[in-house]
Amino acid sequence: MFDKLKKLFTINSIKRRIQFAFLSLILLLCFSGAMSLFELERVSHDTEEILLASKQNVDLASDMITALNEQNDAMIYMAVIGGGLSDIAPHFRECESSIKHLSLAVERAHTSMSNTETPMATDSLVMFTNRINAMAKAYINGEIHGAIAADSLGYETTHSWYVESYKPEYVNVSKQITKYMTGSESTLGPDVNRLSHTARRAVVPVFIALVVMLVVVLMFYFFLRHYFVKPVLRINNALGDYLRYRIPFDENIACRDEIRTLHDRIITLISKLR
Amino acid sequence: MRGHVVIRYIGMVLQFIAAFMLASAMVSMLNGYDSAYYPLLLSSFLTALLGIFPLLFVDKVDEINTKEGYAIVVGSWFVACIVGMFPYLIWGGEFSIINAWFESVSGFTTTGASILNDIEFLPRGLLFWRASSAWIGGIGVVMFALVVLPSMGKSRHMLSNVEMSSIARDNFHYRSKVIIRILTMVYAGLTLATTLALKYSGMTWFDAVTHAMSSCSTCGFSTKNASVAFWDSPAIEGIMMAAMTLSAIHFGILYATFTGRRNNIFRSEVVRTFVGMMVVISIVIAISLVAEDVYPTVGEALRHASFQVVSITTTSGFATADTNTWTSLAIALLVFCSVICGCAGSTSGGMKVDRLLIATKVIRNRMKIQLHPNAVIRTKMDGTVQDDGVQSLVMTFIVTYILLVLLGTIVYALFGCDLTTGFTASIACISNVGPGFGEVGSMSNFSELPAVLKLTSTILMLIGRLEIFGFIQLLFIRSWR
Repeated sequence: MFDKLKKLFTINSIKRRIQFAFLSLILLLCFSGAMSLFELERVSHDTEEILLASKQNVDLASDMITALNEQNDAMIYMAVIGGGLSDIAPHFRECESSIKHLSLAVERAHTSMSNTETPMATDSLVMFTNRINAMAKAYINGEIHGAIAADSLGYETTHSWYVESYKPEYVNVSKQITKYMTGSESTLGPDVNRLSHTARRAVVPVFIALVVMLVVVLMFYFFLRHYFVKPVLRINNALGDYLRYRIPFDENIACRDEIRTLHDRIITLISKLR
Repeated sequence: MRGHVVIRYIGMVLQFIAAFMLASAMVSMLNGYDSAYYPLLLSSFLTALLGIFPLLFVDKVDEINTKEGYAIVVGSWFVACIVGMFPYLIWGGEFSIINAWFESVSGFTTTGASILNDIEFLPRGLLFWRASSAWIGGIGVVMFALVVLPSMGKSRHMLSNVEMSSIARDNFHYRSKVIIRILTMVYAGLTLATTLALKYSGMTWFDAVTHAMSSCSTCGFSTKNASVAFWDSPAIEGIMMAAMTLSAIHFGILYATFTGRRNNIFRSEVVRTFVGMMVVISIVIAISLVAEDVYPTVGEALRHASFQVVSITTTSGFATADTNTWTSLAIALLVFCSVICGCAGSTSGGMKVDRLLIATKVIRNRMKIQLHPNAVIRTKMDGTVQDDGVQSLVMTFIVTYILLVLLGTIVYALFGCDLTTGFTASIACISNVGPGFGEVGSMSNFSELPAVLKLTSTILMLIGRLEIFGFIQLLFIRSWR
């Protein structure tokens, strides 16, 4: 059993040795290629994740700004420009709709941020949004209207309410949204680090495999020269010397493959010719 | 020198390294395919391929000469350190090329110095590989090739020339064919016994195996940032002290002791000096620590002092305390231990107690001759007369060792290190101890050093592991032909 195994793993022929050498090189090439593909796939996946996360943050910020601006526009129509009830009625609906949109966008931003590896504080954004939405709701519910009805200078009252109360809250929410936009990009830091790590892992094994392949190629060249080329040249020269000058053919060959057989057969042939 | 023969034997060594990488990948697999599985598997494949290639072309050789023996040993160590980098490099983390090289060299030379700031962050597979590299280095990369391949005839003796000092060979009273078997039996047996003892003292199987490998190779790689101090267990410390002490004794003498022969550890002058030196230094350090109020009780001071003395003298480098905070006397004595280290023919590095003994006797005899110019005085060790060649070699080794330490210190100082750090780091690297003092103390590491100093440290480690002259001969490689 052991002898059979030993025989199986003993390579004594030139053909098998060269076959194995090429097989090793092909294996290394395939290996490097497969590793490159595998790791590049991972890099691509990580990059896609980062881009998606970034896009989601920008979309959410855009939704929040749109909703906030819609609400602000409606408020300007209702509280600043004013007019009859029929004039401002459509803006009530616009304002209600924008309140819903803004709440929803902020809630999504808050949830998505809490799911990241390094969550950014969105509590201020939520708080300021709740406050501005509460003010808008109060206006729609007539709490501010009540004040107007009781006051002969209603227009001035709602205008000053807008400038003194609503506008500062609008500015605060805008600032918080801007802060969210810039801050959310920094939460992608760990993902970027992971991407850098993956990219490094994609390069290093391939680089190592290529270095190993280079060493194998150099060894292959060395062994080819030492075991195949040199002995053949020596046999050739020795045979030439024998044929030309009758110098005895006594070249010493160290290898144990077909070149050895060739060497032995030449000796046999020479002895038979004698 | 036949280059192809050298390449063949280096190829064999690579096969062993690949097998250990595969074993580490298995550990990784058992640990739920941790992040080291893929790097270890890839490294194992590449190393195996690199090793198989020369075996297919180069036929068996029965005779190898001394020069080829040197080339195989030195070449094996270099190649082992290079392929040992693969798992670290592929895994990434703190391992840049220079850091991976440092960790690999530190493992294979059993130095145990590290550049890792957070060892516990490493996956188990990689921690096991780290301990494996130390274990392979401990017995010697070449020894592995010799044990597995039974068809090498006379070549065995030649290969051990670099691996073991000439003093160690003189102490070996066995036939060269038996030497390899003895070394393996003692080494594997000691590792197994230490593993079991550590397991039953409270360590997990993983920690027990890695610490046993690290103790028996006198490397000092731990799986914890706080090293052995993590367990704070006198039982564990005691077992590791015993394992480290035994590993720093000539393996042939250990085998003789286990098999009940006369040339045992109790009769050996070298072993008696080695153990006696550690006991005396431990007591002196403990007294100085109590006197300076570093530790409140004598028991605690003696516990930490004895562990650190054994750890440093055996060139392991495990730690239970921050020795940077100890007294100047304690630090000076520990530096002395870092220079002298264990016995020849063991896994420890450094100058060796054997050389210290011979040097002391040579100095004493020289003084006697000055008093009695016509006297014929022989230098004996364990009853054996040491010829002039051995005495001259010992003195040359000591002088070269001191010169290299000074040279190393200058290089460290050149790149901004303070004198304590530079001097002790040079000694720690050339003696394969691991920790020094200052910035490279027992509770810190080499991570803060610039790349050029890390590279210098690795060169010193290799010089020390190859008994200085084994490495220096490389410089004359052109004259080998």
